[in-house]
Amino acid sequence: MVKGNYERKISIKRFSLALILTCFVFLVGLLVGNTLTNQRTGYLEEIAYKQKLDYESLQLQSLYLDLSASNASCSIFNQILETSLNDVGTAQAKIDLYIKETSKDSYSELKREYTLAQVRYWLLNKRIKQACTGEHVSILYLYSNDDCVECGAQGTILSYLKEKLQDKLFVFSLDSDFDQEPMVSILRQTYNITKIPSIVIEDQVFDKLIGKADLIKEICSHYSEKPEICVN
Amino acid sequence: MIKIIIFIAYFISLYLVIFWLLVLLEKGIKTKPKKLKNFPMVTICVPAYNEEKTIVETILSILKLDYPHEKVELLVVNDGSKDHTQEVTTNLIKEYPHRNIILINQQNKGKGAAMNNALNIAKGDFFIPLDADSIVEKNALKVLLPHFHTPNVAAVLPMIRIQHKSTLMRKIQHCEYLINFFYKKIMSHLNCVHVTPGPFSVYRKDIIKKLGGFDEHNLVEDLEMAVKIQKANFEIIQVLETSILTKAPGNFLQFYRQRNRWYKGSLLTIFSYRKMIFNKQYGDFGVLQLPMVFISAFISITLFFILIFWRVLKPLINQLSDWSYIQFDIGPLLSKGFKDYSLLNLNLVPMFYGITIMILAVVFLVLAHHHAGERIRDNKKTILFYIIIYPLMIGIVWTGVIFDLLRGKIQKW
Repeated sequence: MVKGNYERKISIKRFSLALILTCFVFLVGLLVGNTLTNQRTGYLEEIAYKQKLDYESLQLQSLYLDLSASNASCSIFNQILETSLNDVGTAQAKIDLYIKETSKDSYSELKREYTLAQVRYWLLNKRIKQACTGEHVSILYLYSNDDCVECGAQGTILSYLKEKLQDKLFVFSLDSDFDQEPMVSILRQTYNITKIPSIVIEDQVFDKLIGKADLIKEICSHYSEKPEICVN
Repeated sequence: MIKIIIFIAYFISLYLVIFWLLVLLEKGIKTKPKKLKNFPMVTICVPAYNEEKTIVETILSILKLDYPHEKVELLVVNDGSKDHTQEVTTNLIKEYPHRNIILINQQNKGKGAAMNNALNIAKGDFFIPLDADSIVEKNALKVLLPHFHTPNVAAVLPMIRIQHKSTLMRKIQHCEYLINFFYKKIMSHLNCVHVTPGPFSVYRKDIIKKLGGFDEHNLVEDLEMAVKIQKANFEIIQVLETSILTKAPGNFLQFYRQRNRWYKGSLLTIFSYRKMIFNKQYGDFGVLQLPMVFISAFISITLFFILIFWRVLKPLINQLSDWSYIQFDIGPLLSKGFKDYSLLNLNLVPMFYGITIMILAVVFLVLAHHHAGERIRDNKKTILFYIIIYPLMIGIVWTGVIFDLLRGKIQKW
């Protein structure tokens, strides 16, 4: 076979330099990632701190309401509870998003803190319902971020109804897979929840996806004064 | 797992772009214009199968070449055409009796066999195949031949451009060709060109004859020839100073068929030369260029499946399915979404890598335009489509190729 005499070589220097430069870019990328995680954690911690103050305030209010329940103070209490719950919900959704993007470890403590906040608010809500004749329905929603095909749909329906009913509906959402917080398993056992998504409407358990119409029907059955969505 | 695959794809893409830019920075792109001292005999071979519509233009462009007429031998190989290719060529021969045009008729055996047939009787020192749907620039021979400055140079290649940029698909391919040839020029500095395309690659006849001519049973005989030349330690030089105009597929289906053949052929051919891969003996060609086909397949499929399907289409389908539960009354959700949105929601790390690769790719794109003598502002819209649609197109082709190979479907040509 005919042969040429081109001298073949491997451009080791060029390959190495390219590798160094690529690694440098990736190092900068990692730094960007690290800064981002710090920023996110800082932001979530700030909200968590505000949450704690809100919760303490709500606790005091609930004590006060036990002593002298009046409809005016009930309404203020409900408003604050709703705002706090919304803030917790938003922060929790962000944590779930961040965990999906990075890793569970980076945000697990914050996630636990927000899970506890949800449970605390839920208990407070249950307690206050006895003292006040407030017109709101509370839903405990157990979801999962892994392998739950119907959770997206159930979450969407609940968010939609929350936006429609505003302060007449309180949704307390808990990640049922979050086993770092024993309270989640306790609640699961209490309501005998084995399937996800599951929702608990005023102590009544539904362990499957409930469509928009059925959910409206179910929620509406708890109001004495029917909101607009229940009438249509 | 998916994150790791995306990370690897990012890393490899960035590494390659940086490597190419380093070669470019070091070696530059311009080749010193050389003057042809004497005019060697050349044989131009036009293999033709059912090319009655285009062959006249192709032959006329050859006859107009700025080169001594007596030094050009033109062999038209009619590969068992069922149309009037034979008659059309015979008429041209009669019209130009003083030009050295020979028509060879053979039974339909394929392009490789047609070119070998011509190679066996070629009188020229240089053998130049030209697809019967391509047009050669007048100065081509005078620009290409001086690059055979040492006996080691086995092939010199012109740039290829799209002739009629009538459809978006052709415009996108025009962009693709500019970039590919710029890339080939850079790789030619390391003698890493891995394909000598059908339109007007100039070969030193003795060398390719001794190498056994063209592989008659290969889907991409031009790629096989280039790998064979490289394996025998000869040189292949890419030149950007002259162009051949060729016709490109006008719609996606035609594009898919052409590329399916090319990519499948490349994969199979390089697999058959697998002993050269990562073999030190073949230097950069073995370490970088040969694995490139597999790397392109990996990056294209990753980009297509993971980024496009997994990260865009699947979430979009899921979102639409979720919205269907509220009868798409999404107004209340969107206003909440906007209210809760924060810049911290952006996943900056992949964005950072993506943008870095994009910036380097744009630098590459601008340089490719500049060196091809084209202005980027004339191709603005096309470039946008090229960036958005082209990766999808290639992803679909590669997916099809892998799918075909898994079920054992290999076309003849």
